[in-house]
Amino acid sequence: MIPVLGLVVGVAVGLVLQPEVPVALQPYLPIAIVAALDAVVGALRAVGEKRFDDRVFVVSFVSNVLIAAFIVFLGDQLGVGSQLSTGVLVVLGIRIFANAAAIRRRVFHA
Amino acid sequence: MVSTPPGSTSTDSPRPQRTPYSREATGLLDQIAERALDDDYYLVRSGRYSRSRGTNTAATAVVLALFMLMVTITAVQYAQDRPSRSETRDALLSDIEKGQSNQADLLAQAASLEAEVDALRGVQEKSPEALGDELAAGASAVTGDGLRISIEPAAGVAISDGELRALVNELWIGGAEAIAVNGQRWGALTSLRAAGGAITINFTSIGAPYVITAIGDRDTIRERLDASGEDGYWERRQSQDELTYDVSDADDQVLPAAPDHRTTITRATPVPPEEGTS
Repeated sequence: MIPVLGLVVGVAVGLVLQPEVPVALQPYLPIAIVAALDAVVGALRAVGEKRFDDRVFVVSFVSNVLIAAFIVFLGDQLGVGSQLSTGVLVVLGIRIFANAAAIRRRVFHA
Repeated sequence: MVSTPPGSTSTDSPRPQRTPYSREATGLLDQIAERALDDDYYLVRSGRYSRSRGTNTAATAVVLALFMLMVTITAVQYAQDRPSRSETRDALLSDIEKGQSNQADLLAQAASLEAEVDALRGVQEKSPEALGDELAAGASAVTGDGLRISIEPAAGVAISDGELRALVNELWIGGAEAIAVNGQRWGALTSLRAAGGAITINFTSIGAPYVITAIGDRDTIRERLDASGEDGYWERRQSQDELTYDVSDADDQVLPAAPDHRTTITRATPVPPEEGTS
């Protein structure tokens, strides 16, 4: 119940306050979201496999977001921002799909 | 607290629980797919953290709230940015229009200044030969009876510069003495060409519908249009609903002068008669 509350609160805060993201951080938001999505899908799979650990979830979420943003930042500084973003997206995409496939296998036995 | 991580190849220590699908991956991408779930989830903890397995915790809620906040912020910002993007587009469009009207103003100004210069030089008393030359070169406005051809393509149908050129060519062959396309007079140096997707005549872009006005003998021009197959070509396209093609008589048409830069010659000089006849 509490996690669902968290989801609702997140959406509500975003819609009501509509916080302005600093322009300097804006390029990193989309990739940070993909990284966060990876952590969330991983957590969902862990829940299904009865392995969920909120401490691991928190750490993986925060570190995923920070590392993804940092890699893109580093790429921007080196002038290969878009290529590095692609690399990050490929890795995260594979992880998301693999985890989603594991969830699917568990739920539908297919 | 920590047992051997699942990537370890050591065989003597007991392995932690692994997912049944997990195996030693070979390639990098395989490895990513196999280790999709963070290894830490497989660790069996003891002591302080042994009871952090529940999903119904504040930490989970906070992280999920953070996640939804990020998603919402991005969505909101994207929704807000979209109108500003179309504003940019509108601004660019109005800039283009402003530039075009500015160009037209400047051309008109140049023409009036040119006329003023001509008047000050006293060249208004031109010889009949000079007047005739100007008429033939398209350097002065003319009026007379002739034909009006309008071509209005249907939406999505493009008329190429070559097609218009062929039509104008047949008009000249048919005896037209002055031709204007969408109000742009055909001068001695006029070109009609495609530039960046638009048709350009006298360095001025024109668009559909195309109206070609010609002064000349209607009968010979019509005969020529018929004999050359131009009529047939355009009527065939009309019958395919690609455009509307219309040739009509027009009396007392006024064709403007071609712009000065299309009738003024600066490099070429006349050859003296004795050399020219040899």
